[in-house]
Amino acid sequence: MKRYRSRLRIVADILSIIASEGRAGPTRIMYGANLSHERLVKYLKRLEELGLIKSLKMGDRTAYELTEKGLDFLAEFRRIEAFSKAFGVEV
Amino acid sequence: MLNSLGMKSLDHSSTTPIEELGAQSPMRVLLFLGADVLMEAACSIVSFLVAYYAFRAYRFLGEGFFKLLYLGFLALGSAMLFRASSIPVLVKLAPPLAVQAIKAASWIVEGVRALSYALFIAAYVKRAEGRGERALAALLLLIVPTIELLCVFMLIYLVAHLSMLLASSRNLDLALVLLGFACLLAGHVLFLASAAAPALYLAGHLAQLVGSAMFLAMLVRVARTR
Repeated sequence: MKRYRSRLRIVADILSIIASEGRAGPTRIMYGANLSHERLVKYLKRLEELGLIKSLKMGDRTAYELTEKGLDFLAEFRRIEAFSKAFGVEV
Repeated sequence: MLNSLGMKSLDHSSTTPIEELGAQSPMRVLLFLGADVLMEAACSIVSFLVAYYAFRAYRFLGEGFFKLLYLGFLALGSAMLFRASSIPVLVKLAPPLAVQAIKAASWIVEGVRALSYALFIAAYVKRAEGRGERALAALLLLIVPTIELLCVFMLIYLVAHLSMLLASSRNLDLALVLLGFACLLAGHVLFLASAAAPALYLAGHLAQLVGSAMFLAMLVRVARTR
């Protein structure tokens, strides 16, 4: 049976990609998180509203980087994920 | 007065480990009880730490599995703490009152421990997709005659379930949790066997302490995750 990603998992995937690059553009995030452009835009807007990421204008391009809150969220997610796996549960 | 403090002995009418030790030397009884209290207290701290992490996971993910896990470890830690803190009080009571108090404490501790294992099973059963697994868990509650034996059967179920999960994921943290529950199971088996040999009673506590060390090692690894 196909297992769908939870919203939290998608958020964590987006944040992980941005964290690994330091700063990432929408195309890199879209491919990395395996999302359609439409869904990615919705997620990025929501994450910015929540203060987990911030957008940076670089000429005619936009890049995203994690805020302090985003870094804390990602670290907590990874700890909770490791704890969940220790009990045989996939997040 | 000290004789019935082997609370985990299945048959309360038979000679308990402490009674046998007491016949040999009062000093050995004190050492025995001291080690008993310290090991139980250490195990309860680890259980509370795991409960704390399970609570954090529940708040973060909102999944019922972690709520049950949290309640289970909270119950397990409470039972251990209650036992560790009640022993020093109970040994000071007058003999007729002590026997009643020890029996009551024994029922509380064994009951809450059984409840904690039932909560762990409920957590996994809740996630199980097949009906067979749910039926097996329900059957456990029907076929087992005593609380101590029920604990053993529930732990066998948990160890078997975690072994199957480990076979498919090969995760070191999961292996540590599996070893933790396996040691708790070994502890309960040794408590049952302690009716025959008093040393096995302390060995049972040692097994539980090793099990707690496994849970603690898992928590340390989780806390260091970046």
